[in-house]
Amino acid sequence: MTTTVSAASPRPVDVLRADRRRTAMTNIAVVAGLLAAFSIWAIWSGGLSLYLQRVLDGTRNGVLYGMVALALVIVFKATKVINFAQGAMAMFGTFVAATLITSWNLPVALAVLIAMALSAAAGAGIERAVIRPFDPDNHLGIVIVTLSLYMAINATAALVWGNDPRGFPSLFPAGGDNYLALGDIRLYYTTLGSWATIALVVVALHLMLARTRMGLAFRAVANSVENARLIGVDVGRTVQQSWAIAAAVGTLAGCLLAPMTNLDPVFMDKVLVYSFAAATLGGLDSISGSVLGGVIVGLTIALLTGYLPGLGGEFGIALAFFVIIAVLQFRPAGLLGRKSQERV
Amino acid sequence: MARITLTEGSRQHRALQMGIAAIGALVVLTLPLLTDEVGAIETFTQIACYAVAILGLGLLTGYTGQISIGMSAFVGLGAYTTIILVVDHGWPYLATIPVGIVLCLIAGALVGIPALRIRGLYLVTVTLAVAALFPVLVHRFSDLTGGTDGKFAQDMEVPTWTPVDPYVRAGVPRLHYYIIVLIAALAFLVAWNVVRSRVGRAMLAVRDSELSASANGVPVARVKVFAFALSAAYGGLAGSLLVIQAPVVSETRFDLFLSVFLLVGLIVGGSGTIIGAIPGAIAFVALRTYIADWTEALGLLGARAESGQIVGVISGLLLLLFVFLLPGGLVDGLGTLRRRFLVVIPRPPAGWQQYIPASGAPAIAHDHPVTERPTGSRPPVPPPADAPLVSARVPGTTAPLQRTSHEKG
Amino acid sequence: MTAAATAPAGSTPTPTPLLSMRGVRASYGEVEVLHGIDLTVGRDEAVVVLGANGAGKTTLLRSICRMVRTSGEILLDGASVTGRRTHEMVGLGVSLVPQGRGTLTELSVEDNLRAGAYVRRDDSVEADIEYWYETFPRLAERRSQSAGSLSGGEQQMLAIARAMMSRPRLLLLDEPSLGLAPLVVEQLFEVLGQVTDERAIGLVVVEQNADIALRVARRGYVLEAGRVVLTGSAAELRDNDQVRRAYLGY
Repeated sequence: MTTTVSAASPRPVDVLRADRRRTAMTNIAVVAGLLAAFSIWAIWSGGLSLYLQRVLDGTRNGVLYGMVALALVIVFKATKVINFAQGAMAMFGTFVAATLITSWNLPVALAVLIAMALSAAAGAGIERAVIRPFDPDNHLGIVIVTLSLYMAINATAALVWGNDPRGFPSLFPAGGDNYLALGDIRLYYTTLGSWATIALVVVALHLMLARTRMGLAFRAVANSVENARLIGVDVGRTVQQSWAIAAAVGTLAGCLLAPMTNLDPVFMDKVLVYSFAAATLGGLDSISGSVLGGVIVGLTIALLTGYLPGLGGEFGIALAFFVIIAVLQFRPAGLLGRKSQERV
Repeated sequence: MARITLTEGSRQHRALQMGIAAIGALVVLTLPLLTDEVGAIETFTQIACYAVAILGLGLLTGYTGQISIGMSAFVGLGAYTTIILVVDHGWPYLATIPVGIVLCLIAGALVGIPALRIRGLYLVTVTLAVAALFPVLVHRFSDLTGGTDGKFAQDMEVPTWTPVDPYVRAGVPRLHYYIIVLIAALAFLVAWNVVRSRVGRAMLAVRDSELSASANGVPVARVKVFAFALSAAYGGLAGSLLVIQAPVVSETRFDLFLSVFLLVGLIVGGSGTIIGAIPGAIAFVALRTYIADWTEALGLLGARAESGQIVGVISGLLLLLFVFLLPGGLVDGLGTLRRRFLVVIPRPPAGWQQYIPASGAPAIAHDHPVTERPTGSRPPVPPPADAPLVSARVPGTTAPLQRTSHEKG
Repeated sequence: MTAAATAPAGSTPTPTPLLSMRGVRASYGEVEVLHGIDLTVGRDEAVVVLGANGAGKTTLLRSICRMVRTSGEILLDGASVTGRRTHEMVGLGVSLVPQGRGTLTELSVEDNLRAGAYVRRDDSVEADIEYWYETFPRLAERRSQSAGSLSGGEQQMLAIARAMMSRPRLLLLDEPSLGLAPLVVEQLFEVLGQVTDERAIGLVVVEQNADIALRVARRGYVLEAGRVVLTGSAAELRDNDQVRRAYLGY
């Protein structure tokens, strides 16, 4: 059997990957540098323990923003759609979990898992019913659909459960003495738990993408819808699966956030804005980027509001706003995203 | 029913247009006189205010294709400007309007600048952040804005020379109505002119294809910034008018929900039209005011009925319905209905005869005829648009080889 | 049902053709691009479709893959496929290498090959991947590189290997020689010839480079402005004056 022989080529270098890596490293270095500079000042002014405590608390929130950002990114990668209803969907799922806990007396973990499963089903249904009929290039139509979902879901939740904030039990032992003492610093179990959960989610996602058939289909669709069809991928079903996963992840994030902020129909609205900032910062098509973005946003908010009390409690939204604008203006691909964003 | 056909620009058509305009003007002018209920008159006034806001959104989103859910921030900016100037500095209401407009023009242009590099869904995210930011800013500067408590002012005074009797309960609201409607009508006139001007065509070009527009010399960046600034100005104007109508503001009045509702109004009314802002505003006000009241009155959902929520659900569903069934809005639907009874034949552009060659053969050969039915003989096939290097072409007749399969064995 | 006289004289009469298109019209929206195409491909037959740009060759292949709206009859192994969706066609054994190569540029070479086998549930996938690495050693060298970083020729090799990974019975190639150096084109078609000799696979190659395509194919069609204007065996087409002048340059 004759084989095709070409002139021997020098050791192959994947130029694209090397370039991406370099860009990502530069971006991260810039952000790390800024944070480091601020940190030095912070430590100098307030002491190391206070600084570390704030860092820990900031990352606890940050990873949860990152988790919601992750849900946004999952849908965006597969469809180029930004789901403006993601926060509302997560809020609804959290309420469902709360109902399962209070009315059916289920243990917290089980209730959360069931709520996640129900959210996944709802996400799949929503995609099939109101997203799929649209041409993906019809941005206005899709924005309107997700916005109307946002309105309808928010309003329905308020109708069913009322507007009064309520508590939500934490999945991990919380408050009081439930921390790990590291010298002066308290590493609360809730913080540890949040980190562990998101690590689990990210690892599970990466494994799914790299090793499973569904993950392959997803990566193909994220790359090119038409080429994915040509290898036999049912694009509609893959997109539906991505919505289901995103919904479940969102609900999980909501259940982890609720114990800290109290549960009411609007508790995810602010988080959604932070998550947009996180996803934009990390790169809307990068899974690890979204988590990194979330951590950075959470850290920055915690540090800045902690050390500059004049900024006030609502500072987070303003920060998110600036992050979004700054990133989209100067580094539209985000920290870890691909540079091939819409050009021309 | 037989269809009436009119040619655009003919006398009958003009007469019809005049007639419709006259009826419309009559309705608008006499509306507040038809009822003595203050509430109803105030509702009409609100419709006019929100129509201005929706019109502004329509110019940005419907005409220039820049999706924005940040309009509430500009409406709020105009409203707060007016009330702060009136309450804290004693300005007369109407004088605050230009100030609000200028501030919004600047703010709108500022928001438009990032929009130059950011497109599509990314842009929506930015505008979302803008809308989310406004209530935060109001809260932050609560000494100026009144924060959560809000700000109140005296009603605009009735000038002594007007024929309105200030002692009749409906008198003052009627005056407000006429003043606001007058200003709103001016705003509509300006919008109508913009849309028909070169700028308006440039906006449409940017909406339909930025690349082609830019390749054709349209200054895309300037058009976009202009569109943002203009729509913001309309929003600010609407905000000022709202405050004139009811001089009270609060922190939560100009939030993201308002932006989304305005978008609902735009879609329901008809997003690519000027006149659509009016049915859109009617729908908007109806949703916010009446549906809530009706459902409460009907006692649906028992004692826990939260009127705001019902509105939210219905708005969401309404939006979905329209996007799926009537994406062109009510204006489009009414237009389709109108076309069953009345067809207007568009007039061809002046001097069109020069484009038809004398011989009658098409001036441009088509490679792929748009609609073609197979005929017995093959029509002459012109050379393909980008023919191979060898310019000879394969003629349209079959060679004496295998016949192509119309004849079977 | 047999197709009309598809075989050159001297060979055995063919059974049900692998692919049969009758009176197929295709449109993009309101614009009709194919005006009644009749075409057949036998189950172990290589067919070339020649034509200039704009003749409708790509649309022809897209019609077979159900990527464009058509009317008329399209039968795969006697069964109509007009109601099928694109991804189902892969499961039915039709594989397309589109003009843009269709590689998944962000995935590695190896992942692309694996992706090619997406519809398969058997366990010979690894063996097939090894076969293609042997056939195209350059792909083996770059197996963990991202497909987007490959040269044009390498991407084309990957595209063909990827398409073959699903073990199709009908392989469709849209202008494989486009943008490639003549030497690479030669090698590519050599491999194509090998592949089609070794297994019973129907092949439709759409090409402007008639010379090399007519060497691989047994029969051909000439497409002009959405119609088949000529058809015959490769030899007959090669000898035809008009074809020679228009597509072979002499």
